[in-house]
Amino acid sequence: MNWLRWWGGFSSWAIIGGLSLPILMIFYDLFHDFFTVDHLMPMGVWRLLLNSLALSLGVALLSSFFGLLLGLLWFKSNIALGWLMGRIVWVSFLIPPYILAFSWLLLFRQEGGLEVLFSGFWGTLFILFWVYLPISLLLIERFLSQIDPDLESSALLITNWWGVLYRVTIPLLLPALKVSFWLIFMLTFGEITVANVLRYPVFAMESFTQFSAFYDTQMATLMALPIMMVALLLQWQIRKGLTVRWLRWRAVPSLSIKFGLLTRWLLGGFSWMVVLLSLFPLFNLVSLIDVGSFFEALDRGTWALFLSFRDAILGSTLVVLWGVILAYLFYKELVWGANFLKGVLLLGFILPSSIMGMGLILFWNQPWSMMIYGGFWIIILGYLGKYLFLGTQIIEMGLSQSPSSLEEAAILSGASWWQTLCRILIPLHWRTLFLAWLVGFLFMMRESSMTMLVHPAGEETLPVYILTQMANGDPKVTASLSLLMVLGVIVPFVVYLFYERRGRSD
Amino acid sequence: MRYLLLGMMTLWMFSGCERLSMDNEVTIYVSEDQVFSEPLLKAFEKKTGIKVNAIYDTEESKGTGVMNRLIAESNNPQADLYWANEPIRAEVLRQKGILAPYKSPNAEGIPEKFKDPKGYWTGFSARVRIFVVHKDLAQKPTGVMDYLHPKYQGRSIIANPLFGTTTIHMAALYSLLGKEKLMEFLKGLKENKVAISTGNGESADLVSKGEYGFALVDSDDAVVRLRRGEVISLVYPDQEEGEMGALVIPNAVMLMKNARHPKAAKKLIDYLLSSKTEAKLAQADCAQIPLHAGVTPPKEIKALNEIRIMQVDYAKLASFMLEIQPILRQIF
Repeated sequence: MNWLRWWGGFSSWAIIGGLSLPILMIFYDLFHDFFTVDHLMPMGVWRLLLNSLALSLGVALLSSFFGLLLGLLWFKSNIALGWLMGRIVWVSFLIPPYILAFSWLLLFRQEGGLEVLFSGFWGTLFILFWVYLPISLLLIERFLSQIDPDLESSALLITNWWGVLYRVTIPLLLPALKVSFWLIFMLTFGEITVANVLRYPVFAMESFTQFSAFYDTQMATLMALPIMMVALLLQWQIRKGLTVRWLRWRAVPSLSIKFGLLTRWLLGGFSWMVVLLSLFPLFNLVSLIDVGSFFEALDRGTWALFLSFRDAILGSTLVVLWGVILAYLFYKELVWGANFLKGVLLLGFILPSSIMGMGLILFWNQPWSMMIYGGFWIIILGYLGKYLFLGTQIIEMGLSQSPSSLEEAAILSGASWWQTLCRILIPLHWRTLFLAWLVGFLFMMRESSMTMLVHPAGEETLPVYILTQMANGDPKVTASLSLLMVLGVIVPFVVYLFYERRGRSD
Repeated sequence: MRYLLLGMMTLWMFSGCERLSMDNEVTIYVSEDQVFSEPLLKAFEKKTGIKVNAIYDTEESKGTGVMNRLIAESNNPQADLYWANEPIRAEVLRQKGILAPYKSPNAEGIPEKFKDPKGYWTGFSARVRIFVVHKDLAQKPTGVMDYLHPKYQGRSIIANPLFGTTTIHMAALYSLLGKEKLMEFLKGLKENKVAISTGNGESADLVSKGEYGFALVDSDDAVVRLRRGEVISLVYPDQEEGEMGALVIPNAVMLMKNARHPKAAKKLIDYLLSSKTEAKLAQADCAQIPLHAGVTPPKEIKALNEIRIMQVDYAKLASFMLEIQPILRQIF
């Protein structure tokens, strides 16, 4: 195993180091001749930090709580079409938050006085809750499917479902809730578009203002430092307790909560109300659209949609391929300085996208690297730098649930580590890998802030194209493009899941 | 795995070759709205056969994405030229030393105040800062200071002064009124409950819907809505004798230092600065005011010589914009 330790250490440092060079360049630029503590203390900044903390806490708690509630209803009960509802709510994640905020605002304006309630903190909380609820739901769904049914069956012998949920299921879901809380907290902390539309002053706006009003990347990076520090602290806290083995690894169907007919109808009604509410912005967009504008959007946006698919599929596939290797090396503790490397990966994830984009330009825009910078690979590298952390985390968490007896048996039978990984761990964890791929794919499909800074001419992804069209473009076409974006992602998934479920029932 | 690697290599080769093999091309970064600029660039492509690689700015980044990109790429410029929708950015780039001078023959006839004297940037097709007023508003505002009048308390709206052309307008007021009066004006906006929107488009929409009585916006935002038949009218601010006049904001085009395709870039600059292009931009929905004399202005907007123009030095506005940012951030 000694050579493996060397190889593992080298390759991990090489992969993460390579991806992080643009980030390191940005920080070198910052600390080389610029950083002073005084810069960190401009007026009003700490009040903004408190605003951001309050908002992030609110969104993370609300989304995680409702993610748990709806996850149990839709994925662990006999309510009809729960799986479909779980897919439909992804709509609000896929519409760019900027458009989503405007769409909700439009709706509330039509209702007169409601706009006052909707602006500021509560409006921002409300919209970001819808944006990030799907992340919480996805995690709950995934973790629910791996709870050992034997534990719940045993508990059901002595108590009812309420008792099982309280004593067994929810405690077992705590790691998922922690991850959900952390992820949503961080995403909210860095989000500015919704807060800007609804006029709620947040800290991340400071970084954006430095970038957009002063063209000062150094100051923008400096203003992002507190965001990163909060993320690192939270990550350190949340990671405690995440490595406990509690999931099943056998493919056994999960236990389902059986509601009576009346309760089923009532909860079904409630669920569909939630789904309809999540679709309101989409309805609002659709109400603007006519057939002509939709076909125009189809004509103008199909290429951009194709590019979005190409980049997201390629990016998420690479995230999984590298994520498997890194997660395995981390899980096996084969890498020296693993926590530092994870911290570097986390830095890429939480760094504001605009600064990440600037780092990519500063590092890769060189005469020797035009093969990368001049093509779409610069976008892929950006995606990897940003989302490899998510993929690695998800896969490592999955790997940590495997019983070591399987690997030990394989090694005793003469299998190499590579064979153990490919023949045992990967087949055992394909659902986890798919989850990592799916999360990466969805994040990459909607990314715009970094992509717009680095994409070569003619390589605009659909979210970037939508945002360039928003400025004085025909609102009908912009709405149609947003619809195209949603349909482009949701329809293939619903069709895939429909066939997957039909295949299982056959 | 073999097929995956093969596929990735193929994609890699395609992505690189596309941009390295073409000589007859030009790369332009554009801050003017894509819906207005793209048709012109396509027309240039058709006319000259020169392929135009264009990168457009987005509303989300408040139109500063390509500007930051230009600055970051300055050690190895990818853009050959930049089409900014206002001249302040041009001035910032000039001060950072990443522009090259070029005096286009088609810039003859454009008033000197809309050009850099050394040719680092040239203005064309301008917007004017204008009031959009809802038809039902009994007394129309006449000047920017009407924002502070008690009779309009809670009835007016302005785009966030931290971004875009509203910042330029505040810098212009700073240059004319000085720091103290600008502070008074900005505080007055708050006291008179002037609503703040995310952008000029949103301000115009809210006035058009009757939520507010008037808003100071760019003329293109106003004309787009007029042409949609929305119930608004236009008022040019501060047009009386002795008043400061309306702020005119031209587009600006500039050549990048060490551009890869300088010949093609100069051709495109000539094309953009031509009277024909100005005529096209005047008739398009952006309804921009031609700077060449003799070009027909859009029917909804007055010609340049019919407007009392605010007298500002665009080069100085660039530094004023940096000076007023702390004041703006303190108040908004």
